[in-house]
Amino acid sequence: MSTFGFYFDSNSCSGCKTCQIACKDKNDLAGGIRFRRVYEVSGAQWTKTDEGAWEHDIVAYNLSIACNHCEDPSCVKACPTEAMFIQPDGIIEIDPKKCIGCKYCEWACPYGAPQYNRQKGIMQKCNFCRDYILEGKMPVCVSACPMRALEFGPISQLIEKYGDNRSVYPLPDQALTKPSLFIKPHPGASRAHELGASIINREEVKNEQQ
Amino acid sequence: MVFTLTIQFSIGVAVFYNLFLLFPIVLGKKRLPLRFQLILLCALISAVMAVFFSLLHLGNPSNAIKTLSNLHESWLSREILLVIIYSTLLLLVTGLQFRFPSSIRSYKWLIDLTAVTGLVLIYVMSKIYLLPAMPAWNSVFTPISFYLTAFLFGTSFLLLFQLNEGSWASQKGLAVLIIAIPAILVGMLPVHMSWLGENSEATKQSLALLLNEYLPAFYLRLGFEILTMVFGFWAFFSIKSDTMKSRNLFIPALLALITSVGALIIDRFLFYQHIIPVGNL
Repeated sequence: MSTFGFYFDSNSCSGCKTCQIACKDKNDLAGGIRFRRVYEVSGAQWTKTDEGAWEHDIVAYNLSIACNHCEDPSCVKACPTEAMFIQPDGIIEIDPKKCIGCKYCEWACPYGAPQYNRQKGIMQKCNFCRDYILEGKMPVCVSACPMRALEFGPISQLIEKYGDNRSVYPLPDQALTKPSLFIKPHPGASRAHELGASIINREEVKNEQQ
Repeated sequence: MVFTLTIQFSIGVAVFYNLFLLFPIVLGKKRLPLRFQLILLCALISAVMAVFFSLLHLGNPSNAIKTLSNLHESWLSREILLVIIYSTLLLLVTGLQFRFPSSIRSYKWLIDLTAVTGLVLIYVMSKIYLLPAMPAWNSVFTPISFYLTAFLFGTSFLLLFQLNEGSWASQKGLAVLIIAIPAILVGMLPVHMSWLGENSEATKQSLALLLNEYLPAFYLRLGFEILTMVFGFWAFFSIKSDTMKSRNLFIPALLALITSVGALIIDRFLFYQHIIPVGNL
């Protein structure tokens, strides 16, 4: 069971992608690999008022998503080599010596967290900047965020402070893997489904090394 | 894709060889025709090809050992173990059949075990795809499709293989299955499509992808399945007790094999192409 988690305030996120870049820089990630991805969700609809005028209804918000170090991780169950494992402190890591790059964890993860590194032939993903945590520092994405939309801490503290909401459109239902991600949804998120919102920067965030 | 198709071909051939050709011979205490010995060899070659392709997928042959580490949780580990067991059993029974063709009754149980292992392997293989993160795969349609693929491969291959051998009843039985299996596949299509259209956002998008991007392939698959049924009927009516040793069956049986292989390859291609992950992340 994960003892740490992320908190993400979708209402505060401006979509600047500083978290994504800081993560890439700190982990020296190859081109196309992103441990943290900022998804741009948007949708719109025109409706006719009783007076006959046309009004538009728009929803647009960002979601900054990395590995959520789930309490019920489907990647760990799927991994045939036990390369994907849970540390005693709940952080899910990949043992590069055991990983064979079969990509089955990528299929199993509903958040797209494990990313294939073609040069190394193995999977890689966020480990909460474990080295930083051991030094008493915050994960680099959290400290880099200029809007303070990201927070990191023990799960119990995050739940006490922000409540236990772990889902928002279009993320999967939290019951699927019990992610250690607590979200303050954007006000428009409740209408996103009815407005047919979708991720509009899919090409930008996809792993180009697949 | 190549791995799943070649291993399912191998299993289909092994299962139907056992049921339709070997069983009557063992019951009738007849000698095993030489041509029949080649059938298991074909199944073995297909299984060896599958193992070869799976090793390519694993990057390095030594990685196969590592993949057996998580047998208690990972269906991929279990699949690899069963592929090893199935291929070893198949190698053993093929060797025995060539070395001791007259004493097949003494090791028939081993051929039964090979076929059962193959059937279990198909189930385990389908479990790999039953992932909540991939909603379009996560349904009963996946195991059904895998079993029907193996069965259609097996029946259409065996009908061609026993033109001048085998019993009238087993030929008729295989022809009926060559009609019935594509009929089930075609009949399942509207049910599967309506399920995709109603289940979740991701499955709706999968259906839209199938119908917008892959419509020609979809119709081609449907056409091949209907043609397989037509050739199955042709084969069925070509089988008469006095024409067992004639060439009447050759053309419909060959055409049924070609169209069924075409349908199953396209079907598997679409299976991999139409997937949209949950949340589309």
